[in-house]
Amino acid sequence: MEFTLNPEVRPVIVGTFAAYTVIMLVIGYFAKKMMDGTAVNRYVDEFYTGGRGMGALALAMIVAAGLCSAGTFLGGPGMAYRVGGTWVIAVCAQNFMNFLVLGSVGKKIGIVARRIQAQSFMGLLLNRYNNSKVLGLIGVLCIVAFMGSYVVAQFVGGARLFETMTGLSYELGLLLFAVVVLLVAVFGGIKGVALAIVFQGIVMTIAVVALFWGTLNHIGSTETALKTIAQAEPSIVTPWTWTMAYQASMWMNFGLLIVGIPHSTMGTLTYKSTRAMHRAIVIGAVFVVFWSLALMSMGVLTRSIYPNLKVVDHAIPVLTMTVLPPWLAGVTIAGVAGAIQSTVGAMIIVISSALIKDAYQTLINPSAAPEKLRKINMIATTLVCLLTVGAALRPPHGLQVLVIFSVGGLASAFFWPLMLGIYWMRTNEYGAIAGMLGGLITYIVGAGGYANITFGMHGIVPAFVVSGVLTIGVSLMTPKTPYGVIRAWFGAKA
Amino acid sequence: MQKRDDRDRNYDFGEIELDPRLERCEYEMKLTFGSWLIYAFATIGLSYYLSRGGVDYIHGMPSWFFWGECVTAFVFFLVVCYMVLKVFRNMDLFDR
Repeated sequence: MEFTLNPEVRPVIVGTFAAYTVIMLVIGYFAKKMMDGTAVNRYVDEFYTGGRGMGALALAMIVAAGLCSAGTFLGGPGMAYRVGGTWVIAVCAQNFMNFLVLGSVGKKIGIVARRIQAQSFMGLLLNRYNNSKVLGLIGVLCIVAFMGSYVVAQFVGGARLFETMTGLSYELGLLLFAVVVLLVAVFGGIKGVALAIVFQGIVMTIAVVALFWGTLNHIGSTETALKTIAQAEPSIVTPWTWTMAYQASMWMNFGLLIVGIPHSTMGTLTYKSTRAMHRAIVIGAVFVVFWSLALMSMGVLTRSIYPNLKVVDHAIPVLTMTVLPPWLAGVTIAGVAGAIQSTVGAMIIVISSALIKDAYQTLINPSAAPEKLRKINMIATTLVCLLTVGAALRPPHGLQVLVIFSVGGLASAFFWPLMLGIYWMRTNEYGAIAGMLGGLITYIVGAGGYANITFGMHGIVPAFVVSGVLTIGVSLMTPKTPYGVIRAWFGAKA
Repeated sequence: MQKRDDRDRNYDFGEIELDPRLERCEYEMKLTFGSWLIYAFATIGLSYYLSRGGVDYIHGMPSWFFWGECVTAFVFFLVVCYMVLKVFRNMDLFDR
């Protein structure tokens, strides 16, 4: 079945979406005002860490809505539609992402980052690994290539959705998305992103509640619906479509390894107190569990209404148009847009912090004056935004390859160097570099299918093993990290 | 004791006086990963176990989904609340 839309409902959807965009622009304007009032010498700190003053709700949403993107709202339900129950189980791995990220590294990074004045993900790693230029280069390249391509893919997804739902052009959709993100992230920094992300998280939740309620009303008995689906396609209602081993490797991919992904860990640099961090874990859990369970089951249930969708990513948009009145459908589309924009905003902050804080300030020009830094920061963040939008206008060849590898690539490069760096004194820069490169290469070989090294599991598993072994092994064979670094990361402050 | 050069790479880890807050963080990290792994095994194990012979229904959904996904998530949510609010410790983030 192709996705078609009744032209009469389009103006309503356009109106709702426009209202959402206007609110986002107002938030962006406030964020800009807020940053304009910041003293020049505190600017970079405010831009990247919000002066380390984020409360529970903002932190919860930076982690939760920052990670939940078009994947959770479009691609995920699409996969649930195609693969069925076993995919729903896999997505449950992300349920407690806030707990995993903040509970494992949140508090220690909170303390150490204040001590060493780290303002970015790579800044933490660079300090821990003796300001190794090689490590910095690999890290920054990974972040720019993988996150950059991921941002492009999110823009493409958002603009296509806009095109499908409103009947207006792809370019206009892209422009609207770009202006919102540009205003919020470039002028407002992490504070702008946080302000926007709280609002977006709320819109996302309203969207899911409305859709969930509408779907249940429309379908009536879910048991009958599921039994009808099972008659045509029995694999949809059983977990056994995937082996348990493969399922477990997906849990590693969607769950455990989230800790290594820079834009989720970025949140740990921003919060103000352990009390706020603890609450952010609880708040985040409520939202993410609800989003994942509701959206994935709706992906499956869409089958009972439309058994033959051609493009499975259209499952949620189609369902929206079927079960909700047009204005609520508009809110749902705004919710998806919010999911996309919040992830893009968080990622752009990470990319620009890698370029400015880590590549430029730490490795190239440590004595840059604050005023100069502020200017360069502005230009670089704008450039990142414009380049990604430009790429989305005409998606380059090979983009898809980078996107497929992006999240797993980041996780397999960063997980062990980050975890071991934080909790094992013996880890040094040689081990970290070996672990990053080894993990990355193994992941690309395994997940790309260049060699059969995955033993029926997801490609992340061999990458995880190789990266861990290399980080530990090479560290043990090379000298300890300098005394001063280890004292800052483990010792009591003298 | 003479003061060590910060750049020194030849020293004994025992020379460093550990920060009890950071040791506590390591303990909480182990709790986090440990409990999450139990949640992971419970979810995957229950879902696969309950559907091994076929799918039956409870409250309008497959029973493996009800017990394996909804109930485990709810129970683990309670566990997380307890751990975060009662076991995890509040501490000063600054060196004071």
